[in-house]
Amino acid sequence: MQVRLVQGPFRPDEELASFIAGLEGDGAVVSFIGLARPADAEGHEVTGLLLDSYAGMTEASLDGIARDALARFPVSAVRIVHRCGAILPGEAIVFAAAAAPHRRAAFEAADYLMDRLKTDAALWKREDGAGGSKWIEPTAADRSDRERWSA
Amino acid sequence: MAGIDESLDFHPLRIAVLTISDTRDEESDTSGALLAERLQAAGHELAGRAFVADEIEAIANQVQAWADDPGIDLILTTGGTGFAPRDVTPEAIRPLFRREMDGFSVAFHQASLGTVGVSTMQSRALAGQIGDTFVFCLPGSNGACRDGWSLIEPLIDSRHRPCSLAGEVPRLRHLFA
Amino acid sequence: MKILFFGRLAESLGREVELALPEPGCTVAELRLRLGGAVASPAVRACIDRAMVPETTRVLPHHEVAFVPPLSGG
Repeated sequence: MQVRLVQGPFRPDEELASFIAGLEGDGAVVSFIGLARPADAEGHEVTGLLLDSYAGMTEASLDGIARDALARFPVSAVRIVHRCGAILPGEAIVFAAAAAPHRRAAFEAADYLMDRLKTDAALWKREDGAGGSKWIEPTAADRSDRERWSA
Repeated sequence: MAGIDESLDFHPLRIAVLTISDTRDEESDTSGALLAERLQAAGHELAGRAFVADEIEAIANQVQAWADDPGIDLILTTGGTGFAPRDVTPEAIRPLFRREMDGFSVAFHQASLGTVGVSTMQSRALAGQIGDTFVFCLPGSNGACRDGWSLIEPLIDSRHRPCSLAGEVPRLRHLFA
Repeated sequence: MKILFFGRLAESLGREVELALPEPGCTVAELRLRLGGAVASPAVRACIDRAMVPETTRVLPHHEVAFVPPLSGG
């Protein structure tokens, strides 16, 4: 299980490469990269994001999500790398990957990781723009995506 | 001679601080924190802390809830006491008073005439009693909170002579009989 | 005791506030009443020692207490 909360920029391409290098015999790797967008839901310019985190609790929430993915899907490895702190548009916010012998489990686990991260990661997102700052809460879509995975 | 008699006992009060502001700017961030820090430095306990917008219902509900709480002796608010369109603190709180402390407004204006001159008249700082709980409503600026606290601190100090507002806090009344 | 705030709550109230515990063993719900405003919202969750807890949980002086808005990771 590979989970990291990072304060500064990270390289998603390097994360993918090192994730693959650590595998033993898997035939399928699926990865997702979340990028900070330059505009908000209404199309207004976003100059930066702030992801507030709670030392100890945030890491534990990411660990829990990775652990649940490993328990639920026949995958051999997952990785989550998540930024916290100040993030600029265009930068990678999150990297989530899953590896399995075959592709079905890898796709589902990666999908699951992202749906869980959007609502269960102990992070609080603020979008900053010319008009001021706005704290973001999970959308109805995020909540229904999360509900998809409830037993 | 009026003042603090150091030979007397100091009884800490349990004080709640309410910041009233629509905007999250430098002043509204720090004036509540300033009061919280000053009251603790003076030996009192911060028993409550909240932040509400410039809305009559929100302000009144929070202040009434704390006034009803037997664990809170005194309430300080900061913000919303001017003449700007959104300033409604007196409109929210005055109707809740059982008795008003009009002397506070006089003393406050006297104290801040020295710091801000005639601009003090643009403040509607007020104080009174909701049930048995004393409430002091200060402006939102750091300077006004300092001026206000400089009056409130000795007034609520149980060692103040000839008398102290601490003597009118129900749970301490028996000590001053 | 120290109460920690995160997200938009930290913007209004600061990262931490030194609040007198109403009484040792008071519940999270009772503590919440001393922190009105946005903290009173049911969407805000209480955490003790970095785990979310129900409103009936008793707060002790050695606990690390935090109030957090709804999570918004990703």
